[in-house]
Amino acid sequence: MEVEDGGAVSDRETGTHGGSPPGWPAAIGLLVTVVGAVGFVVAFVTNASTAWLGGSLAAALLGLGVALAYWGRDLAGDEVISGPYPAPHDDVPGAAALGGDLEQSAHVITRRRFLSRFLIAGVGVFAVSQAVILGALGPRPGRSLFVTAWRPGSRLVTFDGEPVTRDVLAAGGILVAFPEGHTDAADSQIALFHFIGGELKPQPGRETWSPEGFVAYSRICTHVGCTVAQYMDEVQMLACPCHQSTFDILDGARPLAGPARRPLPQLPLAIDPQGYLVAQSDFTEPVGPGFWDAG
Amino acid sequence: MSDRRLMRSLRTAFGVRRSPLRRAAGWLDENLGGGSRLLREELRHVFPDSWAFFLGEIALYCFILLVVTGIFLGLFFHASQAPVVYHGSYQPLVGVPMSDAYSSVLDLSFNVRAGLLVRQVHHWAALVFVAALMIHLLRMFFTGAYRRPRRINWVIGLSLLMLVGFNGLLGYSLPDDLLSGAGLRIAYSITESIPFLGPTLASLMFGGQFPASGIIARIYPVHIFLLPAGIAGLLGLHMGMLWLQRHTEFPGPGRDDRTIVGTPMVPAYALRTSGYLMLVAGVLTAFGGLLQINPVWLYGPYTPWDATTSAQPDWYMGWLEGAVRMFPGWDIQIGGFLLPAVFWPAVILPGLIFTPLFLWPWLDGMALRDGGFHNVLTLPSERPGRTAIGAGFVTFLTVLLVAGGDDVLASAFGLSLPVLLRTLQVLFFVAPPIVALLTYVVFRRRAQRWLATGR
Amino acid sequence: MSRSAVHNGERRGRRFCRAPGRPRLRRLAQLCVILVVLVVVAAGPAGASPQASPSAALEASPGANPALRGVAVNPAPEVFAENCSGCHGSRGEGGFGPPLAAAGFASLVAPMVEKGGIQMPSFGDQLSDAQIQGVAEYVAAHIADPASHEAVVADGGEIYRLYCAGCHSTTGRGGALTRGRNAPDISQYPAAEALAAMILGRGDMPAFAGNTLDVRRQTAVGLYVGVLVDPPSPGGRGLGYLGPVTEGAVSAIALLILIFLAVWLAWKSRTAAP
Repeated sequence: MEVEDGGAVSDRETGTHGGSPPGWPAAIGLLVTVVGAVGFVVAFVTNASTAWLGGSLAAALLGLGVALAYWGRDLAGDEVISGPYPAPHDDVPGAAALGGDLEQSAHVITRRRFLSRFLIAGVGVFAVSQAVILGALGPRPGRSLFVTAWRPGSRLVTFDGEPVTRDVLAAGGILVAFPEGHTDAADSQIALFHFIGGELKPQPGRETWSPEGFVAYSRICTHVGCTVAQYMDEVQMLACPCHQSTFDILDGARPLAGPARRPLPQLPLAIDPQGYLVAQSDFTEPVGPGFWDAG
Repeated sequence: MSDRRLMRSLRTAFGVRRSPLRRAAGWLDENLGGGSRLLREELRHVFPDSWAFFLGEIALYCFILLVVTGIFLGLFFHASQAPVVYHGSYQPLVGVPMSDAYSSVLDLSFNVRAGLLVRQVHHWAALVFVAALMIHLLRMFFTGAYRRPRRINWVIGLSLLMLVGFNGLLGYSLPDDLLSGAGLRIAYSITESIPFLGPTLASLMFGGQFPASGIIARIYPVHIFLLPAGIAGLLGLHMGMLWLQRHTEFPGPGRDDRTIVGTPMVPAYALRTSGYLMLVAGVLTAFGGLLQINPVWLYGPYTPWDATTSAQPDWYMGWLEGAVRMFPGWDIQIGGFLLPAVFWPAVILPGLIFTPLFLWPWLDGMALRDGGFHNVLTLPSERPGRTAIGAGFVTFLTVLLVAGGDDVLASAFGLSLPVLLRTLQVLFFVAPPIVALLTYVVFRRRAQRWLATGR
Repeated sequence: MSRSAVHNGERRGRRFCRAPGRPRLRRLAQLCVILVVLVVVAAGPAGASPQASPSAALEASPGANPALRGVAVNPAPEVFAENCSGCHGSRGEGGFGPPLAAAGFASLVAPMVEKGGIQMPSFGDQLSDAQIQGVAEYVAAHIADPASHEAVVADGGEIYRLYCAGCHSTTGRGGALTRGRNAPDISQYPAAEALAAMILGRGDMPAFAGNTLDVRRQTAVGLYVGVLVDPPSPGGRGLGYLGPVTEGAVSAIALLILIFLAVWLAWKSRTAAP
């Protein structure tokens, strides 16, 4: 095997004892590449479907890949070479020497004990102080997690803004409602139900919260905050599609199954003289998932 | 070689002294100073041969593909939640209010030529990227490639896995669709669950109470610049160390901790690896063109009062989702404060999983009392204990992953969801030790046979 | 520190010869790889859904199929009286079957008449295509509530995502609920089946008729479910529309393909020996 000076290794045939492998697989691959590339241009210009665009481009890439890979695998010879791994540090004066050199060069700093410690302290304090910039990223939560858009006397409206009267919701149905004027308030969304057969179990301290069998709960799951959108009519349960927390609608939305622990907050309802459903006040507990201060 | 002499004399006759390759190399020689000598040496850089060593390349080439497709997507995406009313070509959403971000993704999918192709290739590449990283990590683990001098590289690699997974989460949340928006809500609630600082941290990260109106705009520079720059930087370190330390090799004739045997960089390996780049790109482009992924127009825009079932994150977050589904609602009341249950599976558990992973090279070294240099890999059968621990760990993650899709699996296979969940909760404790034990027994016998017979 | 300590692969290093491989097996493997590539490329675009313009699924105007016009058939009112009024009432007011107030689009009625639903029998064998289309147009124009004609599919989508997707998923494929219950895959049936369930309620599903959803909104939801029954998939084959679970499983297939290619690529050098 002749090897030219200058680093180029040319004219090498394979190391096998047989004949050299054929070149036609690479040629076919490159042919597929050309067809694919042309096809891609045509597909693009004619606004063809994603399938044609992707298929032709994929063909071009795969053809090129097969050609190059085959070339590297079969046509470039199966030369196997060996060489040394870099020696471990104890064979070569590496890190140990580095430590010594560094110590020597940095002596000007380390020599002054007090000053260098002051330097470290100063840089440290400065670096830590910059963390305060993170405070610009957002507001402090304050009371926002404890307050929604519901106020005493807020009328219930549908997501279209239509006020909810007695006859909007037949018995056994579900209605999604918001405070009037706040149909974009994510934390205020409620699910409204209507029970006329006395199935609702009275909740201690909340006897006036469900006038005429209307009851409303927050739709934000107390587990991790998904919208509790699954209503099962036969068993009167409200379940969350995310992790299947299940709440008993007839019993204060207390959790029956799944990873939620706290019941869905109930909205105190009233019916005003004009027949509209209104809230008596905001929720008496934070809606949604629990957090430290909610205790 | 008579034809070469003929070519040489012909070239001299026609005044062409050197081949283009020679001329280009000569130019580099003159302009790089000492650098060209380094290049010359590295022409013969040795790469050991095994299919298992291509797994990292799958990941690397997925990253390249993601950057290329991502640049295209970035030219069209509007990172803004400003409300717009859609008036594009997808009829079932015309007149629906949505964010500018979601609308721009619809436009990209339906009105930009090759837009949907690039979007889908980008998403498939992201899924395969994380999968390749995990398989690559498992290969490292099961062959002992993390031992000195590659401990730092193991840590770098693990950091890359975390950054990539997180970037993927941010990426699929950018379109602001119903499915990914629900995931952001969950991320917010998980952050909220951290004691003392949780609500403040969540508000700072999201820029306000959920649904924060600036979260997409905030995710955008992190996803397209900050994390990719971090990934690229770590990747550079990772590959630089690989280059300097050389790749590990499987045991074989002529191979030991001082001698590396393999294929030279030029020409064979360079050809193979560039071919493989094209193959990776080709397979992912085929998937992106032929198989629909993430059809956000069917999911609808994110609104906080909509919900969907069969709601999962992308697969590589499935283990976290499964942990959250399986962990019971064990809230803890501490005086006037609440420690929500989700804190344990969503914040503590990832720490419990990743910390031993990060420390593994040192734990392994201490357990085997072997902190020496190793360049030759050990086969799984040679270390039955390590293989068993790895198998148990993989089983553990698999149980979590399956739990993450429990409602889809229950619905698809006609199983009862509560029964499936209960089964998985039992398997969570029972399956990993059983699998580990079985693996140990099987591999120990193989190791003993190998020691006895040498084969 | 001397560079030669890390200089590798020098020319004076050993070079190893190999015994020749088995040419026939090698060629067969090469052929397989190329065939796989060609098959994927050729079958892919053919097998994927045609580029449906997303709005093509929304052909909601009655009488869209010109081939059905002008064929001599029983007049649609007669067909209705004979076949439909028994369950739906002589004026579509309902009875054993649901009221037809929300049936204001022939595209909602025709598939239901032809294929039937869960409780409704199919009439595809008894009635000709022309008759089916005719009665569908008749119901839409004369039996349904006029308010139904104002339904807009996009409104239906918004209502669907608010009330329906939580159980049936955004793609309509259904899902597991708690307590061993399931919300069915509504893409299996004509969209009118979903309308009927919505109006009357069924099992765990409450009734949404009346003031919760008026006729116009009910029809809109029906139109949107019609989109979900045959959703546009411009991105290629829809993988079951179950979301990231299937997508993750399919990406494992991509990884396996790439690993297979790596095995192929490294096959020849796997036994490289000094």
